[in-house]
Amino acid sequence: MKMIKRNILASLAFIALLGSACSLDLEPIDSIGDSAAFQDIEDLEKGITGVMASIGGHGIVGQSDRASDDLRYSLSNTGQGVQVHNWTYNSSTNDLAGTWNGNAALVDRANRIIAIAKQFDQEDATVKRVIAECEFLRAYSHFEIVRLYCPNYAADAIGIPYKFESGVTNPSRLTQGEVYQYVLNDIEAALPELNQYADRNYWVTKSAAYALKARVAQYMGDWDMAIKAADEAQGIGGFRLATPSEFQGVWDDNVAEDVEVIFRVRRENATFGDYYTRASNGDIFFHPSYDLMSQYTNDDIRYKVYFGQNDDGKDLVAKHNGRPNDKSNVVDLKVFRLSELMLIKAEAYVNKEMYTEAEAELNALRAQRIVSPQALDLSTKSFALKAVQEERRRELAYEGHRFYDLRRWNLGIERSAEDAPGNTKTTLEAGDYRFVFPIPQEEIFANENMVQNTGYSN
Amino acid sequence: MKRILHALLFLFILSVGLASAQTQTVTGTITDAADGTGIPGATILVKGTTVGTITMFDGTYALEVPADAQTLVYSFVGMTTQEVTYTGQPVINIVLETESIGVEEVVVSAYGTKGKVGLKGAISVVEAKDLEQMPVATFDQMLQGKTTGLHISTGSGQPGSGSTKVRIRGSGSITSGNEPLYVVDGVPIESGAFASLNANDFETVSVLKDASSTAIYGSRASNGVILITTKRGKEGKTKVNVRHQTGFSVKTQEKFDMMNSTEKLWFEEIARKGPGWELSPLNPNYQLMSPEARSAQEEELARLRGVKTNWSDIVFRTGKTISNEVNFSGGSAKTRFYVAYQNYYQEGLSDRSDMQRHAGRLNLDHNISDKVKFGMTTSIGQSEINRIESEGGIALMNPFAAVYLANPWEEPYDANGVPEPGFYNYKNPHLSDDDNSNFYNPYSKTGANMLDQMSKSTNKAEETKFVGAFNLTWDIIDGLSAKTQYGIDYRNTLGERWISPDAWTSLQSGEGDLGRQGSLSESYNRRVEKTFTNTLDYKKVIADKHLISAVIGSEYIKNDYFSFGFTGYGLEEKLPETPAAITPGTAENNFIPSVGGSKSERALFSLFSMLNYTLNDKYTFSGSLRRDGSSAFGANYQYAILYSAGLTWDITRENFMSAYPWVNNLKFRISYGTTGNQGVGNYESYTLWSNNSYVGDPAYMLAQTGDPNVKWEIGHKFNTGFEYNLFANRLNGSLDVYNDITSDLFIVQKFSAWDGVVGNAKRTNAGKVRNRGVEFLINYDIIRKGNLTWTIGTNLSYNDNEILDLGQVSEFESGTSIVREGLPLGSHYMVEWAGVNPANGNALYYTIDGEITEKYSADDNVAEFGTSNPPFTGGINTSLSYKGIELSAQFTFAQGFSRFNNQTFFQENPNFAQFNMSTAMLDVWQQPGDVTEIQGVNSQREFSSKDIEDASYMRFRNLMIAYNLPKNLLQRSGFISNVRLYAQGQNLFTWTNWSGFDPEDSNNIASYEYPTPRVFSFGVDVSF
Repeated sequence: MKMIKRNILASLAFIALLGSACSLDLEPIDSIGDSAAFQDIEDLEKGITGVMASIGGHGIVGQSDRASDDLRYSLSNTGQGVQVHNWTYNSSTNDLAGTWNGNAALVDRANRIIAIAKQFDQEDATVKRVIAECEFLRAYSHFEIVRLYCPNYAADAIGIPYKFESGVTNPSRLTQGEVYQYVLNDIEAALPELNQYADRNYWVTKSAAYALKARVAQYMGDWDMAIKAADEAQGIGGFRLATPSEFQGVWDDNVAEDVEVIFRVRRENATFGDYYTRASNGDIFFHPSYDLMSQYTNDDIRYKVYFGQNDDGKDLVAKHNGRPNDKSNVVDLKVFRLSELMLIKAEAYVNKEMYTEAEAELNALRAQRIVSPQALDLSTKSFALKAVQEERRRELAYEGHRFYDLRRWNLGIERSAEDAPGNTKTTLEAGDYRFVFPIPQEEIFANENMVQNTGYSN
Repeated sequence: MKRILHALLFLFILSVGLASAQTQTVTGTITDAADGTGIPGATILVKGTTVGTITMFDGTYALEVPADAQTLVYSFVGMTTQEVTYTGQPVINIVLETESIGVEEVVVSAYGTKGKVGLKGAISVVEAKDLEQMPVATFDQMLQGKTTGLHISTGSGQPGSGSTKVRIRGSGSITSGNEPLYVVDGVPIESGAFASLNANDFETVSVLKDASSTAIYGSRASNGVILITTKRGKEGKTKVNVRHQTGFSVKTQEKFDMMNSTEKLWFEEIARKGPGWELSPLNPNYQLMSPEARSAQEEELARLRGVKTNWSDIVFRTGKTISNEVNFSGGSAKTRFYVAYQNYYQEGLSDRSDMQRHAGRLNLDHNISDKVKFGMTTSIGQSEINRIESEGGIALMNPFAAVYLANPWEEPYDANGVPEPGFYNYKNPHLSDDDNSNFYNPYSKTGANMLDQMSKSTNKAEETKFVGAFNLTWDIIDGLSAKTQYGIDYRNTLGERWISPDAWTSLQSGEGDLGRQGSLSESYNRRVEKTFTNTLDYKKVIADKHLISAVIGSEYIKNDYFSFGFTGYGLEEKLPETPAAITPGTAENNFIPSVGGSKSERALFSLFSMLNYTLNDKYTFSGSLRRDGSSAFGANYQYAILYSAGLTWDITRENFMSAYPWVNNLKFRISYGTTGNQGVGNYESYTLWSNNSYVGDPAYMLAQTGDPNVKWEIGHKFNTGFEYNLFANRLNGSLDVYNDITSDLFIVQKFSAWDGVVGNAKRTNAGKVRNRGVEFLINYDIIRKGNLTWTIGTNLSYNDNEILDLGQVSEFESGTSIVREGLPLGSHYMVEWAGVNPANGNALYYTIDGEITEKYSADDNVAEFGTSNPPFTGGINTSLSYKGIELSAQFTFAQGFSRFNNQTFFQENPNFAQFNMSTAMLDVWQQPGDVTEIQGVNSQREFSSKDIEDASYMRFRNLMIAYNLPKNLLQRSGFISNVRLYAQGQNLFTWTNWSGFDPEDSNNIASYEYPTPRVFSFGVDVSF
């Protein structure tokens, strides 16, 4: 009996012992937990670098190009971007959701790093700079959304949410007046703490912040602010235009960092989005439109840099086709270039009816782009505006401006027959509701406070 | 203690003895046929009297039998009762067999419970004989239509595919997985990875459905448990079985037609795309051409019309299946063994799609002493699977997509019979290069490119799987034993993906790119799950009527997953399919290989107990309690306590039932309990940052937004039912009613893009879903006359799924489906199609208010198109046997569900006019006044209710004829004991309105899946 009892007790004890020996606290192996990630300021640097790495931005280019008059449908297209090109998009069109989601995520990542930075010494220079960089990125990403998904600027027009903190809030749309004010506030808050490196245009600088401010002012039609900010951006950084011989290098990511490009986003492996050709085999989805190609004179160096032909003699968009001897379509996204600032200034001067100043900006640009530029006629406001608009189209083609510019200028799209092969649609009237992209349906579903843009609902 | 019991028993026996004056003593032992051990507590009754006794703990008995006794009845719970004619024998030894399904209550042993006290409740058992001859590679597919409450849909016809969907009583979870827990001889094994297991080694497969039977498996049991026991040796002469099976697989007929060359070229003209348009006189370019150029182009068009490639004939093939197997079993009183080896080869319906398996097993039992024994179960299997490209994908390299998407005017092979990949690009000899370039575009050769890729690449998986268990049982005292078991489920899979440097896809590169000269990827992933189980098992019979059994135990499960892989480039052409062909990468040559890998782990620790109490063999109460802790849950909810209680009443044993002699067996059971679902990611409660870089600087990027409040999904399961055998066991079956509610249901909640949740979606415990239903099993022997038996049976299940509650909100919308209170899971959510406007050919839709509009907006989505989960499922089977001939047929069906046909979105969409189209597109709207369901080519094709189709089906799944050679014939040979010859057809016919490939699939969207083949096979089994 005694032995039996002992045996039973031993067995029970064994089972109980096992219970205490087994640990259930297993930490992640392949990723870093929240608490372990940010322990010192060096980690904070990694955090802001991570936010930089999450900048997308290509979508803005793709959406503009496909919807505008700068591309011609290729019959070898197998469905890529066709809905956007034919303006048959609706809230379920996937091609239009990326910029909304990507930039909203960027807002959140910046807000998260700000919250983490606030746990460190607020007087530390690195901490201050990290917060400033996040504020810039927050302003930038909000602005990218507002210029795609909202009608033209008016203080009381419908805007987008503005988030200062990460968290689940189901935010609703503010007025554009509020949104633009917050964007400008963030830029102003960031400016004093930002660094300025003429040779570090992969990173946030004072110049980048002023360039953003100039663009924001342009969308607001605040021409004085636009001119002032553009001048600041150029002045602080000491940027200059690429010379004709350097110009190809701008698109090959092969020029000195004080040349032309004020802010760019590094791309190591991700392609530019394969909007024009398929990186893997060169299948053409869209050609440059004849209309755009005809805008350049024969001695315009941009023509050769922006366009090309494949072996079969088919026209290609070559602007973003990649660094030489590297993967196709893998190339940095140039967010702000000096020429854009000059064009912003030119547009501002025209609107202020200061045609001489406008002409000076345009001529300075044209001198570096065209071998023997013709004199421009800026004798009336409409001529002047047309000159600026045409130069802007030529200079900034395939950089995410054309479609939004057309909306800003209240112009429509009329594709010629040769630019509309197959069953391509030809006309989008000025002011059509489709100039403002639909809010993605997933957002409408998930966020009860979100309101769809006009025209997309029955 | 033992002595006291003995004394009690002695007194009891004595009292029985005193009741009758003239008696004789009968002694003997009652043993279990399964393992030869004595059965304690079995009853021996003199028929027609109250005289009887029960066996001792070693199974022995002694009974004073009245001289006039004629029959002795030997019985024990869960065993077949035996009657023995008494003619005065002094010793009667009895071997009792476990009752088979339908005849008596099913008792399935869990956690090594000794003897016949185990799980009770809603359990269906599928026996070896029902699985053995099935010509499918993985055992989950074999269970199709075999029993109630179990719905199986094959996701792919790829041999060895792991995409079969197995559901026990519907889906109780949305995102945590609905796969049941699979346990082989006490070792939990990975679900969906059965390619390396030989199901012919399985003795029984028990499907555990209600809480009473599953709760002991705790937090992994919410989706039911499939408990497998493998064959073990029995004491006696060594038995040898040899099996051979051979068969072939052919394609079933799809229910849609694709265009022929003339039709397709006509359609291209209308869609203004493709050679049909470019070569058309209606093309504006035609006006710019010389008469010579025009006639050259007309010639080309006529040539294309004359090419009539039947892609179906090129892609599909007849696949063969060969299986050879041998097994040996036997043993002595001390040691018993079962050894088996199988070699299985199956080809799929397409080239480069097959599976080869070698599987071996050794099951060993040895008694070290009277008190201590060990058992060992090992199975090792190796399978090699060759897969097609892009299986199940809407991808041009998927041969089952290319077969429909490739144009009929495209030629598959060049003059030498090899695929000529690239582009179709017409060059008109009478036009300048510039004009040729302007007028004609290159069109990718969908079919030839696929054929080239198939012949110049591989996609292999080589899996090694080991399932083993070693256990030691120690009988501490009579009735009490301790068991310790260490089990392991080990799998590693080596994947190899090779693309030859001369494959068309390798030769492609973008403008200015350096080619990468082919690629070779090797991947390794390993999953190891170790289970360490310790139990104490106690059983006691008190006063002949109280049978108590109890188990307490602990279990620790540790799961480790590890993977790594690389892709290398610059392959040497003369070294195919080996890493040795890789050229080291440099900054210049674009051959820098990519490498990667990952690790994760998970642990589960549990304490559990089970109690069964049976009174008078009539009433059984069973209960269980388990506490599980999992590493995957946040500290706030790391533990879950799960329990069950159940009652079984054997009505037949009541006295009043003697008035109903036609009732052979009637049992009632009822149970309630809770189970858990721990289907969360290993680290889902953590917010995680991944290691990245930007311009070469290290960067932390947000990788996951965790939720520390992640909780267990808890299933609350109620079940009640009857089991019956009537009319001399001619009619038998069961009826079960259940009501299962899953609370704290995991729902993928979609978030605003602004709210910073990675992927804008996260799982939250937000709801409650109910599955309630009825399961009905009936078998009837229509004829049972001498040599002739004809049986017909059916199993029917009805499952009603409904979302009861979603917490703060009433619905979650998500793309084309919706989770809404009051609707079942899998509800489609779509804009309703309203036809085509005859005036302009535009598609019409209904707005949410029921008005007709041309504007498509997902705001108008409605949930009126049913669900993708079938409420009615079941099977019908019949078998006829006459002398040695057996004929059986099986039908399965699923009814009342609809699926999204993504194939029609491609085949009926002018945006994809460079691919072949369904003949439905011949009805495309062309001019005002056309009344048709196919919108004009200028109207954007959108997903709408038009693409949702009823997928209900009835399938003639199996027809088999078998012949067992007469015994007397075999006896003459002296050593052959049984020969069985059979022939069968699998997946013979399907009745359905579904227009896709195959209505049966593992998901809700049809997308050129690998179709399930029709299989014919022949086999022979010989036993020595």
